[in-house]
Amino acid sequence: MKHRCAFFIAALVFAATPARAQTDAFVIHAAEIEASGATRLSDLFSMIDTWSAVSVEGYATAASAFGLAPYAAPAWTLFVDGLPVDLSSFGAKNLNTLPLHLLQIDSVTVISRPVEIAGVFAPSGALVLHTRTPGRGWSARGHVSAGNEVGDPGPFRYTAFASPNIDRIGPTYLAEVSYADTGWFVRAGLKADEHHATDAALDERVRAVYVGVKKARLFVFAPSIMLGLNGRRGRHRLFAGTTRFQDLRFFDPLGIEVPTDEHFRFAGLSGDFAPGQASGLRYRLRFSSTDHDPRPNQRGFVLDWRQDRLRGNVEMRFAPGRARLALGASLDARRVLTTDRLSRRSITLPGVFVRLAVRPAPAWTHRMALHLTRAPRDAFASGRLGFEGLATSVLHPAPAHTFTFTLAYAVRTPNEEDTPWLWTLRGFRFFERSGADLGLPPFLLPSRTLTGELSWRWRRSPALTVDLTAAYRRFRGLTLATTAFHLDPDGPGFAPRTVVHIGVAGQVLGAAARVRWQPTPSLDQRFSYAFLRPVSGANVAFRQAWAGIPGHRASYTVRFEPVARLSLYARVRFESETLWPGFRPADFESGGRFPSERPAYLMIDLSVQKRLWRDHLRVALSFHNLTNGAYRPHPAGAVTNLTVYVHLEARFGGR
Amino acid sequence: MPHPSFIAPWPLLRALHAAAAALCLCACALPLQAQPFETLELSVTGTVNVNRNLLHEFWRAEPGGGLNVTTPFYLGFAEAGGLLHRYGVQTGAVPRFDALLVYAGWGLRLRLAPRLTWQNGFRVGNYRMMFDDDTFAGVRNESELALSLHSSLSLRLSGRMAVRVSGSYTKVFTFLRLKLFHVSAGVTYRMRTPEWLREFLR
Repeated sequence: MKHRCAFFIAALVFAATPARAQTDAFVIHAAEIEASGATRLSDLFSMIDTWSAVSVEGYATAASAFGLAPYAAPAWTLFVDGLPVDLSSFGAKNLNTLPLHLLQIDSVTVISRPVEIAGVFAPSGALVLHTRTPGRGWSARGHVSAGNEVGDPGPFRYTAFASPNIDRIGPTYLAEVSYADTGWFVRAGLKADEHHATDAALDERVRAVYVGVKKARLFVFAPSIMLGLNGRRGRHRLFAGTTRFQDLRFFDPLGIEVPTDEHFRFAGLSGDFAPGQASGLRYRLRFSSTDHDPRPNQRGFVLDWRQDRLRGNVEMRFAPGRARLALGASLDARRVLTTDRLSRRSITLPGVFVRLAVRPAPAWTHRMALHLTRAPRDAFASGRLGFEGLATSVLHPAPAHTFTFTLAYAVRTPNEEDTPWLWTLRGFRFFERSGADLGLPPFLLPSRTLTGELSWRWRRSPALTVDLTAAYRRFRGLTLATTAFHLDPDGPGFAPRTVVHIGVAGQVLGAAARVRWQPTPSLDQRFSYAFLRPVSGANVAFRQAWAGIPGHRASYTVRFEPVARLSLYARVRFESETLWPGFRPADFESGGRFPSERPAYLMIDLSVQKRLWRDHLRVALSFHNLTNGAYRPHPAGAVTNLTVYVHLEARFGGR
Repeated sequence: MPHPSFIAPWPLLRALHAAAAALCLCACALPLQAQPFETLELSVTGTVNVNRNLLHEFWRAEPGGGLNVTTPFYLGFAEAGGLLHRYGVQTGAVPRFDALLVYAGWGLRLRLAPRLTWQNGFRVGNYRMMFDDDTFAGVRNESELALSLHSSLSLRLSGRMAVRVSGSYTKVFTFLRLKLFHVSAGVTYRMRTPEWLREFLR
């Protein structure tokens, strides 16, 4: 009976809060986010040691989760309160376009392995955002932050010692109002953000594209609304928002920034009619649309691309005997709108899935999930059936020890991966119109990925937790692009040559260690180390794709609250050197201005935060890159030096 | 609260734990001058820039003034204030400008004698430069991070009044760093912090 109860509780945890229940997940709480002085959603990547991220202009970030996919194929999955959000925008995934502000988040669960959440298989890791539930009654919040990077010319700009001006970062704004009562809440938020990319190399490229005298300025405006119902009829959430993102995006095959006016619209509905019970019905339905309006520019770039996507799944869960079983069906329908003549404009991917949790022994829980997706086959995309299988075993040989073993195998058809190359093959002529030198294969193949992780968590005491993870990834049939960047003889950009390879194979080994030590409630420390390496024998395209991901990442994070309402935060992080073989020609031709070897970096961030007026006000001062090293994560990208941020937040109401 | 042996099972962690405990003890042993935010000290000072470097080949720093508010913090004191200077032209090719340093800071105070205290601390601030230039505001003004170290002596004249002499070294993080030594002198008025303000600050 005791074992049955334990299993029942474990099954409920698995069913009700799947992301938080992952035994090897890493969780970042709102207190740490606020104390760290993080401003944007993309700042989360710098707080996750097993993930790495790069950005050209310092705003739109490409991330890779523990070697599960390269930067060039951002395949990680985003969830907001259990609802998957499809941020993909023509081959890129910019977390800052999500219509949510970082401070609207209560916690972030980071899963650096394949996982199945909410009937959605996330083959390349997942970022699960849990938003704050408003307190009862009316409440309102406002936040503003702005940063200033050092290195302005100051008064010397009027002298022979003048240097380029460096514009501010931000300001970033959040305005939020909510109302909550018994069993329901509604929350409306507005995020606005600015980013000035005034790096010299970027500025030159952008001036060569923009019409008129204009500096590179990225702007995000994103209202959103969330409605929640909790009651006898279940737990239901509606989340809707729209984001307008201007104004540029670097395309590798073009070697220069393209002015864009991107509109992201999202509406999602999710619910569970019997939360916390072994049997019940759960559903998720979401619609997203990404639209790129043209912006006048000197080069005549017109992206002319809109993709609408309707996705949903419904699952019924049962409790046959000692097992917990869920059966579900899913649908993924996409439509592309462009004036180009495409051989196919819409794709429909129906699927079924099954999930099973059993407890063979009191200290052993085993979970399995299987997803099958039927894909249309045409002349450009082979493979009719997508297959995703996941098995996770959790062992507790002693109360302090938890072992988690995960094995996943996925066969993903080109239609599921939805790359820009597939639509280019089908007749989308953006790269051709823009004069890109692009070599495409005649068709794309399904990819096959096998991954395995073994993790051990030792909870020595509430104050000390140790996590060790070993990971293996084997890839077959990947579609990867390699780009050789030459300097453009006619302008400040690059003259790239891009080749899309199919059937790329390789293997990646990884390991990670994390120690959390909290000797007193006011002092929280974390040591982390992550190692990642493509093993020998991998082919050139594969090696190039992974070479930009640091092999070693280490960090020490400390949060100290000596008294109530005052916190000090520091984070020291190290990233080993990375290689960017595609930039070797430009490195040689420019005399090292665009280096193909990025050095190792040691970064120190420091933040001081004080709450005032019984927590109604919060002020914070934070320093990023305190060592003032010239941080340049991408060879074509901006150099960032010491930056100081000021944050001010006010919040009222909510009991 | 777990026993230390559970917290720090290894020698290195034990040593770190011991060091943290020692640091906490030292902090507790420091004499606290007052409860946090119990008093406010308002200072008005006159300031002169006394060093010479590349900046001074083009501009001449004129005497300026400063306002400062200091209050006891949980450890040491916290302060906020501003310093305003005018820079006249040394050569004809550059415009005059006003420089306003707005800062917040923290420091420690040591009583040397019953009426004499010595304060040392650092300040973090924004150095705003406003140029006499006929262009639009975004170009006419410029701001940059500034870090200061300062030291001051205060001689209490009465229960509320004191005179203060201080020196500070400020580094402004422009591309060519501005390094400025200032010497200041002024008067300080001490008052009890109003209850509503103490509640606000806590």
